[in-house]
Amino acid sequence: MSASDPTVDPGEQLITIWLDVADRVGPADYHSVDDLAAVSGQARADSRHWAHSFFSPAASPHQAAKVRHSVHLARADTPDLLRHEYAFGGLDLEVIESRSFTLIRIAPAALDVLALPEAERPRAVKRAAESLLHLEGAHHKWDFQLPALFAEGVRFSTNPAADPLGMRHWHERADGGIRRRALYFLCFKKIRQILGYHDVQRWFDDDFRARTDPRPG
Amino acid sequence: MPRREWRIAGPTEDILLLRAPDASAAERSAALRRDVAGHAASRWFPNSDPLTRARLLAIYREIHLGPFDASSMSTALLRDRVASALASGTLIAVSRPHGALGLVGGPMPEEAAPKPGEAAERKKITAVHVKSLTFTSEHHLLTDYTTDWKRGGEKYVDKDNGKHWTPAHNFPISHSMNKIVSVAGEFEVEPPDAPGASIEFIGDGSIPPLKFRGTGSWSGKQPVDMTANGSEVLPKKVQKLTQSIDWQAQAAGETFGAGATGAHVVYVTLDTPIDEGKQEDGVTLKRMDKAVELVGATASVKPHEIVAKLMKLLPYYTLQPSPNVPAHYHHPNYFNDEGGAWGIADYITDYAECQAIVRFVRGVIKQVGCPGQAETIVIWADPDVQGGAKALEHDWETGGGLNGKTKVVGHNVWYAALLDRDPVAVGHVFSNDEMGFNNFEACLKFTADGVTKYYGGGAGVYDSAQQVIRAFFALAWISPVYDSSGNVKYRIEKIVRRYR
Repeated sequence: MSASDPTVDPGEQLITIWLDVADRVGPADYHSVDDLAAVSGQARADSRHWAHSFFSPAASPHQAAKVRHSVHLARADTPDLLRHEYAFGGLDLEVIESRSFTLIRIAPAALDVLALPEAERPRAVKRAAESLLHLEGAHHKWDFQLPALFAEGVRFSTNPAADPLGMRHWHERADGGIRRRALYFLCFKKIRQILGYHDVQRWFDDDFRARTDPRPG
Repeated sequence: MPRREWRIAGPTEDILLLRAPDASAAERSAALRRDVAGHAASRWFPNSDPLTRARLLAIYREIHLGPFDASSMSTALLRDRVASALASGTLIAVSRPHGALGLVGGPMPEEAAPKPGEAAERKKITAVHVKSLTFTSEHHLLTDYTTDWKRGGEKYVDKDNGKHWTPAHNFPISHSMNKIVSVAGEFEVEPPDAPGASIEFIGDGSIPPLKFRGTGSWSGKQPVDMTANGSEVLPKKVQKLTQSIDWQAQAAGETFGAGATGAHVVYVTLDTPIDEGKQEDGVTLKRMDKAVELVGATASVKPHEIVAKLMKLLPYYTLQPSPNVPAHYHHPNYFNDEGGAWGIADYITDYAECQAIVRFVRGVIKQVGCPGQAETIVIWADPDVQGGAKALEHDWETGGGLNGKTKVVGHNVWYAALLDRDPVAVGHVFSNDEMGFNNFEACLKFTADGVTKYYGGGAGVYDSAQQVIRAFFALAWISPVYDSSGNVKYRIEKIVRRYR
């Protein structure tokens, strides 16, 4: 795939790919890890660093209680992923991180936005965002521009004009949406100094890969 | 009139020496009349006084009649020198019964004036003790905060009326190099009813800048205040001194050990610490200690040399968080409420973002008062500005860089990027791990002594922004290439300019 379709900007293409790949990696594709300390050092530090940026402090997977951690080792068509599953604020969360994004999924069993009356849906989304995300900091204030109607597949953003590849800071944009009935938020691990993102298949080091899945190949 | 006075106490009498090299004969006579008035035993000296060698030596040393070590001079020569000084009119001397002298150069305290026949019964000073010491020439900025790298704490100068040392506490100071250290001391005299006296204080701190000579007057009221200056300026070197000062008091012809102060911790800086309101500004003990350690290790007091050596402490920059650095520092950008980039001091080998390195170095040099203007800037080139030939620069905090500069070519969106490796040729594809697709280079732009240099994090030292841009291989238009794993790679579409 390339940025050859002039009707779709490169950043939007990238978001779609990320959401797809997070769906494509199923529960059986993750290896459980007992403790985050066992996770590849660079990935663990990345995760902690970005969680500090994206999450409200108590909602961070590095702060919350009873978090189950698991990892997915990159295959030809998937990235290295780190997954955290836990409950916070009455919501069952699945946080999936790659080297370039953090996806926060809320289990529909705990919050099914589409099951709510239309008028209550924006409020429910905002409440979830307020509970989970670091909406306001020294250099940013996230205010999601919510759609008039919520439906399966809907997407929204704090700043749809910001190009995820070319934007200067991570806080210039956060996204959300409904996918497979699950409300999600998507945050971008954007570093100011470089264009785009680091290689998502080289997040875990070789030693960690060997320890986690000793099968050759 | 007398320009300076000394008093040398003897076993039965005191000798008052008035040095008056410019005084006329009439002025000397007037001074003498004033000084000897009321003292029956006063007389011209040395006509009727058989001076002992010890007292000749004392006079010689006290008034510095010659440049030589007087102890090797014969008694006859000593006597001749003192007599010559007297004969030339540069020295007036009177001797008085013991206890009659009182304050040299000042009014005679009534209680010190002996009644006939009582002089020999008055108690002499038997001991002098140092009670406090204050470094009056220090910066008065140091605080006691050592918990972490944040600024804060209480200034030492606000504690105990600014006294740096008492038997109960010992506070560190910071002081500019190449300046005289000035102190104020408080001393206690025993017994409390000892007769009034002038006291000379000698503080021996082993090194000349911390050797002091000062005077005080005992008039029956505790404590005796003393002020004194170091005998030399502090050397031109950023360093931490830890030095005790042994005090002696000379009074009534006797020398007393007056106790010791310290060990004083003196942080010697280039100049007064500079606070420009940045997060890394503000003097604390923890910051000062580290800054003096780091700058001292550069063995230089030249601003550019210091900055160059500090930048070499972090020869590389990183964009990757390190698992070794505690989360609250927010490595590698060090945007935190924990003292900002000061946290780097504990994790130097984990490097940091270039801008954080610059903030750290800036904080260190400002802590020790290093002159010069330090700015964090970004440098880049733009395909639309002289075809990428011109280096552009901007303050880090307010913008600058390519930051998603795009253009649409056919059906493709191209991004401009500065490449830190050889792009080889159009059509090659690289990931961001194989090739740095940069928006800018961050630098410390430092101007001091009329010279401006650009210190790039891990990228060397440059004389101009134009030289900095040559840290890159090329400026190019590139297009993103996605794969189904979510990776973004970039295809070289056009090499706008090669820099090397």
